[in-house]
Amino acid sequence: MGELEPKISTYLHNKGAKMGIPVSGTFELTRKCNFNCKMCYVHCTDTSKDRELSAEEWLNIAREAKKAGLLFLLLTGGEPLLRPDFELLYTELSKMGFMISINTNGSMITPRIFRLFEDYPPARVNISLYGGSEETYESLCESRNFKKVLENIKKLKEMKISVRLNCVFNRYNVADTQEIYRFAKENDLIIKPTSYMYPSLRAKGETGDNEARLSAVDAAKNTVLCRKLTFSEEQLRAKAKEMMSLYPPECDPDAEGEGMRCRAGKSSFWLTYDGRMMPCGMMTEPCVSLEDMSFSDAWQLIRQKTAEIRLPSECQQCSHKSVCNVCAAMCYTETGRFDGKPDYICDMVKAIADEFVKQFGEVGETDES
Amino acid sequence: MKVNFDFVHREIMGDHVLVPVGKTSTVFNGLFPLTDTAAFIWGLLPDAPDENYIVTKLLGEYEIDKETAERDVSAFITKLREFRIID
Ligand code: SF4
Repeated sequence: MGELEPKISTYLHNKGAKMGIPVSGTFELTRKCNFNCKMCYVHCTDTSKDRELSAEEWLNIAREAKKAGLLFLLLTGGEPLLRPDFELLYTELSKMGFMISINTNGSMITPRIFRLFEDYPPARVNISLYGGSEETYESLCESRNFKKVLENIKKLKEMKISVRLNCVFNRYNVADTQEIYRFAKENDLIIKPTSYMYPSLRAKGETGDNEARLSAVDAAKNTVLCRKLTFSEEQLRAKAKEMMSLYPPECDPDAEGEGMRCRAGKSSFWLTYDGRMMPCGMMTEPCVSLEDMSFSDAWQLIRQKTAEIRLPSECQQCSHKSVCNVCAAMCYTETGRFDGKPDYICDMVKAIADEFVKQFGEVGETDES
Repeated sequence: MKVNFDFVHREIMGDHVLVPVGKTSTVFNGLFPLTDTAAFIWGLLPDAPDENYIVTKLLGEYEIDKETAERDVSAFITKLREFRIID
């Protein structure tokens, strides 16, 4: 159920990062949604005053982005299928020659949308699967659409459209983890799990917490459970071995933090529903409005500002650095600073390592062996 | 030479790829990378009555001998036929 990125995509992204070309990008078409998920990082209950970009504005941006090198385009929301002009927008974007993926909660794939996908099959549909029952959907999303979503996933599969399940585990749905994996296996679906949830800075304006998320230790336990449901015993034991031999890297104690580790702001951008460019949709800065400048100028500014970002200096000397996926958006949403040490992440990573060793460490094998 | 499928030819950072559009992506699921020469030939297809036409154009564009040009054109055209991209 794991996933391998096609080699050509990795190659183009690496080259893009070296040459400063935005090979991939996200168009956040709306932040409106027919669900009201407790943990959402972007959806607000009052979206009535939102000034969303029109279809024409998106298409103009897309033309500029195409000239700048955009190839892999992700359409997201909110719920992007809620836009009344989705059909027009999607058709025109498809004709331009992008590899388009769509993030959706899967509840609004109407017969019209199925027909649209028949004529213009997306490269992939990423369905956010929020639980394994109507009850979980009700409590987490305030919507009883579970069965509908499953039906739609099956229909997409029948149409031979590539589907990935994006699963964010939290207090409301953690008990459904095994059920979700069972469904994925039964239907031969790729699953992208995460038991970490960003604080909802964009939706609520606050750093440091997300009321729906698991404690760091429970998130760690569920991370290990997800790996257990995906990897072989041998792979898990190898990981445990790695976790047992973690030690702080040798480095200058005064060394400043390293730069961004991911593609954001190097070969990839995010555009909000109202036309602001950011390296990544989880953070609120750096941020440049396309009202004030062209796509290319905005991209150059975002690149520059991204290059200035530094992660916490503590991470440089941390024994768990090699197994920690800390990123700038985590630091920023947890602490309000890119170089702020995100304690929740530290606790989670250490608990993951402990849990691996406890469950899959060979008897008699210790740090010293 | 008529192209049977709908692709958009993209040049990104000096690399050439064909992006399948619409129903074409049910047959070709993913990007179709092209070498520089293949990309040049691809651009000629709609106007090309036969392979000789493409070979002549190729000789005008690249500093290669006729034999190499014929081999390159024939290899690419054969590949396109295999995939039924052209008849
Ligand atoms: S976030 Fe915490 S655990 Fe991760 S590398 Fe930094 S200090 Fe270490």
